[in-house]
Amino acid sequence: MNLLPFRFRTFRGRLSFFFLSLVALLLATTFLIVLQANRRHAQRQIEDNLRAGSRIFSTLTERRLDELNEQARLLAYDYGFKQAFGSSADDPGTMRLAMQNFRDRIRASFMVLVSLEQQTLYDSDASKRDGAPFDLPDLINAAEAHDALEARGLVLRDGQLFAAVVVPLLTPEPAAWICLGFRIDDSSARELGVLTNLDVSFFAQTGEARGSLLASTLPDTRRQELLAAWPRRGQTAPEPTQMELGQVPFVTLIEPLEVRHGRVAVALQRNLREELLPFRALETALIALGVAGLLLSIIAVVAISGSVSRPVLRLAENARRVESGDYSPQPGEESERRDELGQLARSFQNMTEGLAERDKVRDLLGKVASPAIAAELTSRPLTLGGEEKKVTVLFCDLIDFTPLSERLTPSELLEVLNAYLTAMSRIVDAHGGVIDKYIGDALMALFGAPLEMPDQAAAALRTAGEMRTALRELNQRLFPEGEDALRFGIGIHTGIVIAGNVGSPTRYNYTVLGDGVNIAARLESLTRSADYATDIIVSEATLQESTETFRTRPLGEAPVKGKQELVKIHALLE
Amino acid sequence: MAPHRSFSSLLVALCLWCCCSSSAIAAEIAVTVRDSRGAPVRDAVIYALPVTGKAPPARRQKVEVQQRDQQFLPYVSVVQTGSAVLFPNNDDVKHHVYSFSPAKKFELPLYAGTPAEPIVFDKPGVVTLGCNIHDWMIAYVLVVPTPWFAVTGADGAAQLRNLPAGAYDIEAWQPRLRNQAQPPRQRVNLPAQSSTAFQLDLKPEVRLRRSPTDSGDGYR
Ligand SMILES: [Cu+2]
Repeated sequence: MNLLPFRFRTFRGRLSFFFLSLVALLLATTFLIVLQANRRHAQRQIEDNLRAGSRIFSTLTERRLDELNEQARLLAYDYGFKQAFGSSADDPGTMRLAMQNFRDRIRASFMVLVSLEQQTLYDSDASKRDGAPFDLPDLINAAEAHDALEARGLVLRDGQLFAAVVVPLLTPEPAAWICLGFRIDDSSARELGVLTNLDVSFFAQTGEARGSLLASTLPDTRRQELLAAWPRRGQTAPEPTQMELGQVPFVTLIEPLEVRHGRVAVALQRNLREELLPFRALETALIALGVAGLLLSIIAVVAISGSVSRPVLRLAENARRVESGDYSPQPGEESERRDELGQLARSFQNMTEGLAERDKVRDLLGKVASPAIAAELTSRPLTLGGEEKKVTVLFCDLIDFTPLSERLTPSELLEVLNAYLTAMSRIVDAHGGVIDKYIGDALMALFGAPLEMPDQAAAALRTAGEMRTALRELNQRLFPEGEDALRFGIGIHTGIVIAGNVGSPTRYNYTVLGDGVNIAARLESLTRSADYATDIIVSEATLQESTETFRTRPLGEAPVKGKQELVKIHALLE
Repeated sequence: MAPHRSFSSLLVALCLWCCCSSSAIAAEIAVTVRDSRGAPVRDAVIYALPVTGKAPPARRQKVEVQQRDQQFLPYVSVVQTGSAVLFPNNDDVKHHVYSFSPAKKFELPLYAGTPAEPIVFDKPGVVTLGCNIHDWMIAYVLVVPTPWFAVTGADGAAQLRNLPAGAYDIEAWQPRLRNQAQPPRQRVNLPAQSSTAFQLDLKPEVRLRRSPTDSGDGYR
């Protein structure tokens, strides 16, 4: 049943181990569950942030293009510009200056005036383009197809990314196209990055294997890593994926941009490590909380197990003392407790007291009655009622005791009586008889009850003989002057009696009742009669019962009080 | 002085009669203009150029392109080269009429009422009129080197009258005409021919939206 590779020597150790394991298991489970939920939440939140960032990015790009469109439209309606255009045939220099002025006014990167036939009329930055076909025809075509004759979008021009718009120059009907471009460079990327809270990188996917980075919020070192980690041509990452940039994980979303005259993708990224900082903090707090909880549990478990095991140890100590026979009361705080241990301690105390009481009673029984009876009494279940048994009753009483009692002081008398009874009792004990009771100076002994005795009659007869001798010696010792101060008479009869506990449930004696007892007492009283001239009278029943032969003298038949028939009696000779 | 004046009047009347009598053989021709889908085209200008190339007589005309309800009226006008055009402003607000067209560049900065001096259109060609403060205002004046011209109505029909007998190149023009450099042309002999028809390749109509007005009836 021991599943552990080691054993605990103490109950306290086992208790502590059990509870601590339980607490640790509980804490670990809780921690793992919370940790997992936390991680999952973090992952989801990061992905949500990225998607939200992507939406913000699209909206911002769209809005920026709207803004540029608006500005370009305002420019197209500028009367001064129309005037310059009206006279441009005579004065191309003025026209170019006007265009540069307007380009700078709205902070555009380039401005091109395109004829309705899509020839470059004026390029604000490169006059060598003048007269050549415009290099962004898709934009013009889109504008031509549009109701308001306007178009806007992202374009790749000379390897750079621009937000471009085309509006017509109306004088008041379309006379030319105005194309304005706003370069998307690192600072525009940074602006987007701040607004979306993302790292934004634009990447041209040109004919080369890897293409080139157009603009980015990333520092230079990271850009190289991004270029190296960039997926193969044409691939995008429409779902958030993880990308390592210099051992730092970035959650990355790569989306194609709708760009005219080139293929461009945008990478929206978030530093996973930074993103996870608050979650890491939460994890640290959780760990700290778990450790603190475990420490507190250790303290609590040690204290509780101590409070449980200490009284148990004390009780065990008490039990050992009781085992060794020390019933002295050991008051402890345990019995003051209100819990089960208190009950146990109180019960134990009561038990100890009970044991002490019983020992005392048994002692007393042993002193006042036969140890055999005492043993029989204590070993049996205590019930009233008895059984029929053949018993030999020996009744012994002092004769003519009154004169002696008048001669002696009470204490002297008691001393004499005690010496006498002690001597007689010892003889009864020695022959296996039991003292049923003392009645004043009389003594009643049983043979065959409560313990079965095969030679009960012989034992009783031998006892009586020895008692006679013992009394003579006692007289010589107590009264050396010579006169036999103490004389007794003994009656012995064997018959069926009721043996058992007699009394009330709280107070009872083991005794025998019946004719047998009365006959023994009657025989004893017959010794007082001078006609029989003997101190020991035995019934014929006893002699017949005896396995040994004793020297006796028949005394004839004697009437027994309350009995119709006569009993044959004999004197026991020396 | 009075008798002399009445005499000169008589002389003028006589001259006019002579002209009329020489056009006793004067002809007219009906022209219908349809688009490529066969729908009648309005605001198309029809004008006849004598094949002889002989400069037709100049006809003095009083031409006005007025501004009413923040629109030019008419939308398309046609004048003979050398005509003077007035731009009376019949609105409560001022207008700033301009043209950047090569045929006639001019500008009438913000004004109200009728400018004292008319604008003389001395070169043939298309003059596109705009207003600097009302972007949607647009109108056309076609300047042609002939007195015989007309503008089609909603039915796409126009009538050229009082042409002397002879051969003419009849040309058609419309603001939405795709190839403005070479307007479609048809040669007719008058009075043998009494009608002709044009089918024009037109761009779809694009008109700028007006700003909402104070009158509260939304866009107009
Ligand atoms: Cu106006």
